[in-house]
Amino acid sequence: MSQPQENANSHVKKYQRKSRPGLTILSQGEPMIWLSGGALALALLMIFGLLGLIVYQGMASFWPGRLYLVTLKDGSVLMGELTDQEDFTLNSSSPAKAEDATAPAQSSHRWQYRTDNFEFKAAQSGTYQWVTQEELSDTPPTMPEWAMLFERTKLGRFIGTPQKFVTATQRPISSDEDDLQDIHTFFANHQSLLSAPEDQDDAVQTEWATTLETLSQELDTIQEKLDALQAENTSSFVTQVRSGQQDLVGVTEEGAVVPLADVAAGDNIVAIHEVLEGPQATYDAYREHHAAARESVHAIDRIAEHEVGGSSRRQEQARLQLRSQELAYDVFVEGLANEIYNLKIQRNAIQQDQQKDARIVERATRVLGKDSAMAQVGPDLVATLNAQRTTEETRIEDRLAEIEQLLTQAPEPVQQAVVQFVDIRFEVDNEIAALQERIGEIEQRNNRFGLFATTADGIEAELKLGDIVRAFPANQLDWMGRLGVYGSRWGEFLLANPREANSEGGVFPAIWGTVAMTMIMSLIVVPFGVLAALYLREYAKSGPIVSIIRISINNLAGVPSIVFGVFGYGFLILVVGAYIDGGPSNANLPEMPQLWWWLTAAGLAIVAFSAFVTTSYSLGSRKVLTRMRTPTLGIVSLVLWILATVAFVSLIAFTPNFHGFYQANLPNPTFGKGGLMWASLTLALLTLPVVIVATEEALAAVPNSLREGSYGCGASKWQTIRRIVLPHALPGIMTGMILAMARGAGEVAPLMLVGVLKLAPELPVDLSAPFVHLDRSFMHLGFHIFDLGFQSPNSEAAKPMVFTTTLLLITVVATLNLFAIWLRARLRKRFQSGEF
Amino acid sequence: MSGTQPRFTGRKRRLKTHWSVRWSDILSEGVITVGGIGTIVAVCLVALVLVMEVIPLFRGASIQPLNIREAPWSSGEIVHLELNEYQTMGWLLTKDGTLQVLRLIPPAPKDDETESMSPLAFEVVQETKLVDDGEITAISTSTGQTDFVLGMNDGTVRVGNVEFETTFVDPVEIKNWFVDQTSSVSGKQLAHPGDTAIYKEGVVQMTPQGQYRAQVVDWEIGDPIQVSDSAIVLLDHLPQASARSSLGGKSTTFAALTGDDQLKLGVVREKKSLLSGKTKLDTKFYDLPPAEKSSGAPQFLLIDDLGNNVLAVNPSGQLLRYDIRDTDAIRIAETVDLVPDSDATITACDWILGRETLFVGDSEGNCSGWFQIRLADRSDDKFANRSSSDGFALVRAHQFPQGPGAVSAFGASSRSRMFMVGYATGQCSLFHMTTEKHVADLAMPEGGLVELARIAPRDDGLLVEADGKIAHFAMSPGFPDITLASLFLPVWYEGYAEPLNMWQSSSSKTEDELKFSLYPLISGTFKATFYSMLFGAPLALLAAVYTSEFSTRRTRMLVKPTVEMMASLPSVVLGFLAALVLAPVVEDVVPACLAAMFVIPFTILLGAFLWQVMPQAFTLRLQPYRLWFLMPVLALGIYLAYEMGPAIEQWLFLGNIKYWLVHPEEGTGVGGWLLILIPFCSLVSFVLDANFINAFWRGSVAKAPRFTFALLSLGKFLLLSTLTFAMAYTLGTLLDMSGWDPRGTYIGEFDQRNSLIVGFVMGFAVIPIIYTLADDALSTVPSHLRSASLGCGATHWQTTVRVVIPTAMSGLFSALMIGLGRVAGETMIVLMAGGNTPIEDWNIFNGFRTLSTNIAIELPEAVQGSSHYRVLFLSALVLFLLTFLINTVAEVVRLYFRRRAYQL
Repeated sequence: MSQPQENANSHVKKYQRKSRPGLTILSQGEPMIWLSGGALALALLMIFGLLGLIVYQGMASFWPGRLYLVTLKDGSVLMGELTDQEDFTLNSSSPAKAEDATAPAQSSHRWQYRTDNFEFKAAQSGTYQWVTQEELSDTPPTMPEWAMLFERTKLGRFIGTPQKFVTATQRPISSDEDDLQDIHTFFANHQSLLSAPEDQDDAVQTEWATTLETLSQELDTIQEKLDALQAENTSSFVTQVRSGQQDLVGVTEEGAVVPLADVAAGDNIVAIHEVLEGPQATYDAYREHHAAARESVHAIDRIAEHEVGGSSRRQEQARLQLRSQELAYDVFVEGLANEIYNLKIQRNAIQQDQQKDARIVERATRVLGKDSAMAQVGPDLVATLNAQRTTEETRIEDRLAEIEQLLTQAPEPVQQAVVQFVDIRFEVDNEIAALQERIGEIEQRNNRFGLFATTADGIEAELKLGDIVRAFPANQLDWMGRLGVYGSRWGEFLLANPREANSEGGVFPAIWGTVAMTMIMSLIVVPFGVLAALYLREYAKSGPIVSIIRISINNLAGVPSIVFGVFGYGFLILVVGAYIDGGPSNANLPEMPQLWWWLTAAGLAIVAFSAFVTTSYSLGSRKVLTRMRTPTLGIVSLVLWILATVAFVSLIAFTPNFHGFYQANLPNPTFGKGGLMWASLTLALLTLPVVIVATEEALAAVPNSLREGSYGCGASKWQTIRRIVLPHALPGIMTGMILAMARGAGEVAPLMLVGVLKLAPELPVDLSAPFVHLDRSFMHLGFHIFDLGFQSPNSEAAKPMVFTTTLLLITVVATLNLFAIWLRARLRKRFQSGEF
Repeated sequence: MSGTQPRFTGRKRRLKTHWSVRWSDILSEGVITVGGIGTIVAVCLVALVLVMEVIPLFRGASIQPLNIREAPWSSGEIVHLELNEYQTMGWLLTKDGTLQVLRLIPPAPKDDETESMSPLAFEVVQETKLVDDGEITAISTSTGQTDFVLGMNDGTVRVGNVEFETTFVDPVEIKNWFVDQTSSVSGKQLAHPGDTAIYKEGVVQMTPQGQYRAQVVDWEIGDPIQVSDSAIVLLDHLPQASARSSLGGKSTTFAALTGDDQLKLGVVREKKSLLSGKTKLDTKFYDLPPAEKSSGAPQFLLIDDLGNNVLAVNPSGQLLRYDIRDTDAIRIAETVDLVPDSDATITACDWILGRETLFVGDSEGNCSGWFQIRLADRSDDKFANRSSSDGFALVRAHQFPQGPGAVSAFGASSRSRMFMVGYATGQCSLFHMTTEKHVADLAMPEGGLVELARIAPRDDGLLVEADGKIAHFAMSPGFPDITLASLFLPVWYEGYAEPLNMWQSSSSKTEDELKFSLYPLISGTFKATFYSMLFGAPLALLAAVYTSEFSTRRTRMLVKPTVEMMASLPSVVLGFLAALVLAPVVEDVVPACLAAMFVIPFTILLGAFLWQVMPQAFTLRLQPYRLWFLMPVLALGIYLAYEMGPAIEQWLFLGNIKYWLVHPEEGTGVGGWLLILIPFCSLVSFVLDANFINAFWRGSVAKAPRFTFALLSLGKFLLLSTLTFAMAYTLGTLLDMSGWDPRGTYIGEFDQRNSLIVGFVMGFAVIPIIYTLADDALSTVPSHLRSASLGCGATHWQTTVRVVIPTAMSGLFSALMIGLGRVAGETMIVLMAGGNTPIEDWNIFNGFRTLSTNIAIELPEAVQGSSHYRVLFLSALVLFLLTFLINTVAEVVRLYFRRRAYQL
């Protein structure tokens, strides 16, 4: 009996707090709190670790490093930036050695150098090179004063020592020189065509032999004259250029280089090179000429892009014109038009050859006199040559006539289009030839300068000045100099086009594409999102249906983005886009028979009219207020509207009368492929739930008292919404928009299906009409990251670029988000005071 | 209420609403309603389009009769008929060796009766005598191939080839030709795309692009090769395309049954002399041994795809398989009864496309498909009693429903595994071999025994001859290679030992079969979800609990936005980091990563117990800065794990975990077991502690001072940890000794891009969303509940576990579900870091492919409208429904419990 009592007593004691210090610790659950805190700490650690990694790598990758000259044990040398170093164990990972794994694993150190010089590496390819402690020779790595880093537009970077700078001056070739050269080539080449006279008479034969001999003598004479003329021109050129300068080198016809002092009187010098030896002089000369050279390269790019592009567009338009005529009259003439063009080109070439030959013979007569053998033989030669050409010409003419004949059966506009097409092709050809000439001139001017540099192992390479984006002696730069390079690299990154398969240069098109796509997306998504939210919150009668819709929209936000991509690809591009291009047949939609179509159209008219009548009777604010709305009429009008919509959609989708806006371009799709419009639409659908939910929340946050106050003052529903509700909800709507933009800017998976390219030739929004090209593909920062990291041919070299692009992307997204968070905080503050 | 009314200002005012206000009200209501509903409908369109694209997959084939006409030949006269791919022309070979080039006379247009309606189905364009003398007694052709072998009644065979040659004719030329032929400018012929006409020795057709496509039959035939003195009765050969001949010389292998019942194998090699440059035919014959118990002469003779086997089938259904890989020692590999269930006779037996699957049709109308499997691949009892000399066995893999009559004709498709069976009653059926789908039925209106059944080369037409009538049908086969069962259940693919789930959507040859089973992709999706949630969910929930219950307000204000911002971090960034930064690092420190899973929690718990040892005055004051003290402990844990890595690798994994993983025969599997058993055993010891030790312990240490108690609990923790580990190790050893090695199951071959990486990074990606939602749910728990609990004397932790978490349970659940939905549909991270191999396993060190990545990879390459394309849409739909369902469940649960929570 005593025991239970004792127990009871102890029970009372047990819960006396004073004597139970231990239990409080137990129930404090400190270990579990630590565990949950550890989870948070781990999450934060990962977040900041990740951000830190990206920020550090992204910021650091453009910082110019020092260039080291490293000598290896096997005697080879390499030069490059030190990019990484690590300790590693030499212990090979094969378990065959696992038995003698008792031996201590050999610990060693290795350095990674970025050596570049892609084209000079035969054995070890790759941008980076590891050097282990064992490979390193006794001489420690040095930092040569004149180690320079050249960033080039082609073939990546070049690391080497500048040696000399060559400025070439071409000797102008006079027209006399050209003429003589032509005469010589002409007769020398066509001599064999001359046939001996058929007359067996000795006298004639002898005369013929004499003529031949004279001819060869005359050829020599011409050569001599040419040589003399060249020597004369050379000497005058040399005296003209030489004035005052000493270190000049002449280049002979064969390409040999002779010091100008050694040039003999009769030598023919094609060009004179001014050679500056030594790194300092070279670098100075580089700095003097580089800007101009780059400028002219840009000029070439501009010509190629705008003017040549414009001409080709004109030609393409002419072709489309022709194609649409073909479609209109159901004939097929494009092949014929192209053939006409080709034949005419051939004919013109033949005619030009004829004229040229005649001119040469005439010149020869002028130079050597009427009695010369050349003057006598020349016309015969020309005649022989022309005989061959004439047969060719007749063939062309025949074929042209044949085609002409075929074309006469075609309707008049088609014939005109063919003629116009051929004319425009000729015009465009001439324009492009002129532009090519201009480009050639600029290039020639640029090619005057050559920079010679040697790699670490002594290979000399010529670097074209125009190809060098940036060059600097890395080891001489002070802080300011390096900062300058850093800034210029960032500038290029943000403002220039990519080069080297996107792994170098800038990401401007990607930034531009991302911004354009996001902007267009928000233009679409915000109005529709707000409309839907207004409907759901202000107009729809709340009930189970609206709840279901609300839940569904909420859930759509969680549907994987790739599903929207599939929708965009399978419906927007392949159906809607193909429909725009070439009508229902192109989009694999069935076509209604003509009669059915008109019947449906008539039905639509009737249904739409009755729907309008019923709706206008059932609508009206007055009836809402007085509750006089007749529900049955509302349902009837709804059904009628649905019917009308279905009829309208099927009328448009299955029309037999529409064959697309871009039928002439087919089979090349215009809208039937990925492009800005479809990408924006897809992402708009993807982000629509975000906007709807955010707007609805904002609308719900507007206190009802405000609405009631407004109604109480006699405002109508729309006036209340416009003046009271929307202004109060605006920050919330803005938040939704910004969140949608942030989501849209970072989304990649659906874009891969609907129009993102790794390298888009043209910007989707530019200065040529109509300014916004909805059908063009574009580049995107997120896809750029994916492409650089996973599809780049040289992914090692692209890695720094991936980090910077990543940094840029998350900066954009984070800025948008921070802005949204700030806006939301403001919004909350604003309504916390107003609520009661 | 209209009208005027005096007001106190004396000014009269009209109380009528201004028209602009009224109209703008109506207009805005209209616009908002239409726009709102339209937007919602547009969003629904996503699902609708997916469904619309998927529906055709399961719609049947459609067959329309084009015309029925007289056959221009009498029964049994022709030996072979072939159509071209546009169904405009064909060729046929008659018994006497005449090759006829035919133009298929198109059906007369309904509105144009002037064109003479030809009673015949074909118009002969050209006729050539292919074989001058003798009669053709046997022919061997192959589906989809152009070469053939003829067997003659004089015992010779001839190798030949007939091809359709396509050229595009110049419009000028074609006009001239018609003018020459008809001496008038013909506007009628070839006026519309699709029209055909005879042009020179072939047929020309106007294409939809307006070009003139002319096709002629180009044939060649070799010299006769004497096989036997008696007539050739049966013949089959190995088509050129699949004959992998040696040293570049052309070679033809054929098998023949001669009139005197001798089976012969012939190999004709074309040898090119290096000196003279002449080619010389070198023919060798090998005799095939006769069957032991002769049950009649073979009626069908076939050579398989690789030229390894010759099959001889006699009418009673007995098949002899000869192994001819070694031509010097040809032997019978096995004997198979093709009609094991009945005593029907075999009436049709031929290869389908690819010459790997054998179609067998019998007199009772049963059809079945047979192919060879390697017996060693099959471990179950089903084929235990089968044996063959070469280790292979011909098995019946597919069986088809019984037809209305005896099988009388067979035609294989040349682009899919579909085939057509003609029955003696004049009916025909189309089946797909691999999926066993019954594609369509058709019947000749007048019945009669079907003699010829052909599927046009593009699977878009059928040609059936019965009773002297030829019927031409237009067909769209639908998607015979897809059925619901084939998408989700194992399918017995050609050459595999048993039904399997496979995804293989591209192939190099048309003969290869595409395999569309969504199962590996769905299992990949679940694998990704599982490993990610395993990592992300506990972390996010615990972090949310800490933030909402134990952290200071200031910490919360800082931490929450930070974590929330990470929610919108583009997944491409995470994917890139996972694949290019994390994966190579993890590859070097796999054991350390595995160790970290246990070492980090252990270190944190240890830290907590040590914290308790400190005087209370101290801990109470420092409580708000707990997070700062946690950081070094966490860092220490990570460092410890890193340092322990190599030692663990030495101890458990033979010093090299990647080697250990793929060599189950070496070392022990304890390391693998520990991975599962440690969590399990810690759970066991936790339960042990809570239910047994604590009860005892309470009473005995109750009076100890706080410091002693803290020390004791530290000791208990260490003891229990040791116990846990010892238990796990012992259990692992026991399991390993019993021969159960975990390698090859959830751990196995190491791949650089693997589930571990994806799980880690995707778990990380999903932490923010779960965290935010969970934190919201926890903070909405009314504070009076907390106050009441604390007021009753409960500690913070007790309040959290007993009051807050149960109240917020629905919110936590929905946070988890939404996180789950996110993970299931994530694309970029898996695409970049997941390895993308569509295989089904649970190996944490191997990659996988999810539904979403599969779409991203393959949709741009899929041909629009093909079954591949539609299956990808189906997988998008599955993904859509899956996530929609998960989210809806989450939302409904949340709403339901929120209503309950409001009542609190």
